[in-house]
Amino acid sequence: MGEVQSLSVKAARGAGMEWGLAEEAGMATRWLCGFGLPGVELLSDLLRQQADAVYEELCPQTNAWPWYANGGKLCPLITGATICDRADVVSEDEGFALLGTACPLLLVPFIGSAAKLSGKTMRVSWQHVVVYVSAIGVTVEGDMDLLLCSHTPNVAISHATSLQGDEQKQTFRAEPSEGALRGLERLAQRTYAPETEKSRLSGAGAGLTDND
Amino acid sequence: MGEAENIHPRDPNLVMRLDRLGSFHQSRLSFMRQLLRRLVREKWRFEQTVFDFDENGVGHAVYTAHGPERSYSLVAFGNDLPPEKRSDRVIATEWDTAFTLFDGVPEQNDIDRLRSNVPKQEAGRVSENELTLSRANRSVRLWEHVVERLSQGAQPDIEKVIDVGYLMRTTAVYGSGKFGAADRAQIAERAEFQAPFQVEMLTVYLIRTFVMDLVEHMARKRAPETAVPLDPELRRNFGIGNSTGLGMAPFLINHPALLNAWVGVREEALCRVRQVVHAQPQDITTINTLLARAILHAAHWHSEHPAQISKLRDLRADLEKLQQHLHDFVATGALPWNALWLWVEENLSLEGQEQCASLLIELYPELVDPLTACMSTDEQMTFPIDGSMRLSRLREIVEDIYGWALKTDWAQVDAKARVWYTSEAKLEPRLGERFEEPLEPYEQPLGPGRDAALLYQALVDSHHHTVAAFLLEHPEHRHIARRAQIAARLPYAEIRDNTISAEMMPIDMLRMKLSFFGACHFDPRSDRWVRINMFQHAPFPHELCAETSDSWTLPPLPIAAQ
Repeated sequence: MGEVQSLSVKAARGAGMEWGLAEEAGMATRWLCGFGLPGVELLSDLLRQQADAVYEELCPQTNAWPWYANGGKLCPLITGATICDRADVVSEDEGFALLGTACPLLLVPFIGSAAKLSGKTMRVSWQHVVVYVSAIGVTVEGDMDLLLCSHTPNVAISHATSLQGDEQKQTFRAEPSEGALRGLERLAQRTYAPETEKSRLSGAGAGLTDND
Repeated sequence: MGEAENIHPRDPNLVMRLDRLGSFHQSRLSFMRQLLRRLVREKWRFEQTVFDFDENGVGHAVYTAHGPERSYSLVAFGNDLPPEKRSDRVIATEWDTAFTLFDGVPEQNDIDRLRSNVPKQEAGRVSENELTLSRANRSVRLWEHVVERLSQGAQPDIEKVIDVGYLMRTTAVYGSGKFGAADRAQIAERAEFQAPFQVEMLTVYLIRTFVMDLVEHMARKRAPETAVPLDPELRRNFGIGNSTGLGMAPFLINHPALLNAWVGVREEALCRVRQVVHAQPQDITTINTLLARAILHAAHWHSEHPAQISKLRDLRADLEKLQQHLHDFVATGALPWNALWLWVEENLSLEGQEQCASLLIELYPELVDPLTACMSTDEQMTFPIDGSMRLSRLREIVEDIYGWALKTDWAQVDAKARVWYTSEAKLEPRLGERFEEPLEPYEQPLGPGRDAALLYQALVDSHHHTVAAFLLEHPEHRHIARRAQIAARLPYAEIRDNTISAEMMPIDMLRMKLSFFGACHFDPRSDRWVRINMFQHAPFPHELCAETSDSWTLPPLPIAAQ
């Protein structure tokens, strides 16, 4: 699980995200995997979708509800982090809405973090699926296939009185698909400096006298 | 002198400097010491269930440690390593020995699977039944000498033994889910693994046991008629060496909550000792004995690195001064240890100060040991950012925690001469020269000082009122804003020093972490590579008992001096 988080941070960075947001990507992916949800697949999908986009096209415009992105597709990591930063937003009783959002399941770890901090149960829904999250767990109601949804026109986030639907069991080992894993590894690769003779000899320090 | 209430843990601006962190010594709070205290308290039982090696050291062994609820087995594989392949670097591909700590007692199919993977280390894969992955190489200097002497029926030369201090050194001990091994979360609920790095420490403790059995075995193979085992007292002079490179330095910066937990506990421990109102006569005897042993320890400590040679000179001079001071020390007044501490701060170098801190912590186990429960933490808990924080408050925090960085002239080449990166080759952490190599695009976020200076400027220029609004516009400052908020709540979370300057020595960070492991005899081989000794003088599993389990780190005094 630690490996998945570390890889996700590097992949997000390799895809061009700032380190602070890449760390959010790592946290979110690990969180989803920890509940047996397809975090790696979604992150791989998201980073592919956002390959040529710039931050200003992906971040939420927050002057009024519903939030939207100038580029038409909100990044769930940036949006989730922004929601989490604004604890006041989460304690709004009316709930709130987002327009076009990529990989909406990636919002849930952030809503989960806010739920934990506020002690409330939250519900996140798009199309025919609802994800409930509280400090004690995650449940899903509706069409499970929609968890892998790449893009949705609307997301609704509100309070709930209790967790409903099928419980997502916690797990210690992520089982990501090979394809998604390779996708993240390719992006992570961009954060590693190519080997040169100079850096091999001097960069780590052991040099020629380490064997005695 | 003041009342006890006026004695507080030391200011982080004093403690969290690289030169001081690079002068830390092991203490009773260290992870190695915690392990051995537990093994005795819980009456762990050890057995060597398999030992099958030829005259070239090729074969395997299984050592099982039985705790009150669970058992763990070190599975060791030996190799006939060609000398030209022997290397401590992460990029090595073969080693003298390879190890894994198995969660339980392995069956034959486990051993077969492990034989195919463990000797390959990073190139192999282990399962959630394995807790650690490790490897060790011989000390070429000492190995042959010991085998030769023992095979002839003689003991090795004590001078040579003390000079090196180990027969093998590990070059990595991987835990926490690396290469397929069990994730930390999987074992975090087990009492025996609550303290930090206990799986790694148990692994090394068993490796030491195995290595000593192996060297005696090789001597017997060479000359079965004449070979003898090591004399028990001499045997304990062998620890397990370790060769540590840069990887540990990023670890400290990337785990601020953990860093705060370790240093915070140490500072609280020192504070509690300083607050003790009256010293008993036996406490005075104890500190004098400890000091004599520390002097012996410093005498046995060798290095060829100029910086370390200079520090050792300071340490030895400091300890002589301290011994002289204690000779005349009147401990009958109130707060005697605080009086001593204030003298130490005034009169000794950083090495002497931090050695003395470790000695003082030894005096009152009942005050200090309960603090060890606070040395583990969940880094995830400090992750969320408080977006409602006012920008003015964040500015104050930056001025407090990163004041040193705001005074640094970041336009100077020397201030940011270094760049931390990860190489493609085996994902090895490295430190490069920013202005000499094209590494900037690959820079890791390990220079919080410079990041804080950039953040500060942006905060000054910003029209926003909250951190949330600011970060939405400036995602590039999210990372450092998080760090600043963490450090505001956790005083020892941030190294308050330049980690990318031309003068920065990674060995300072390595030593800090290794001192918490319980390592001794730091021997830098460069500014970024250090040799240490682990478990030297510790009782072996068959020697563990209440009397020996906690007093072993400093060398025993010669009988006459006791």
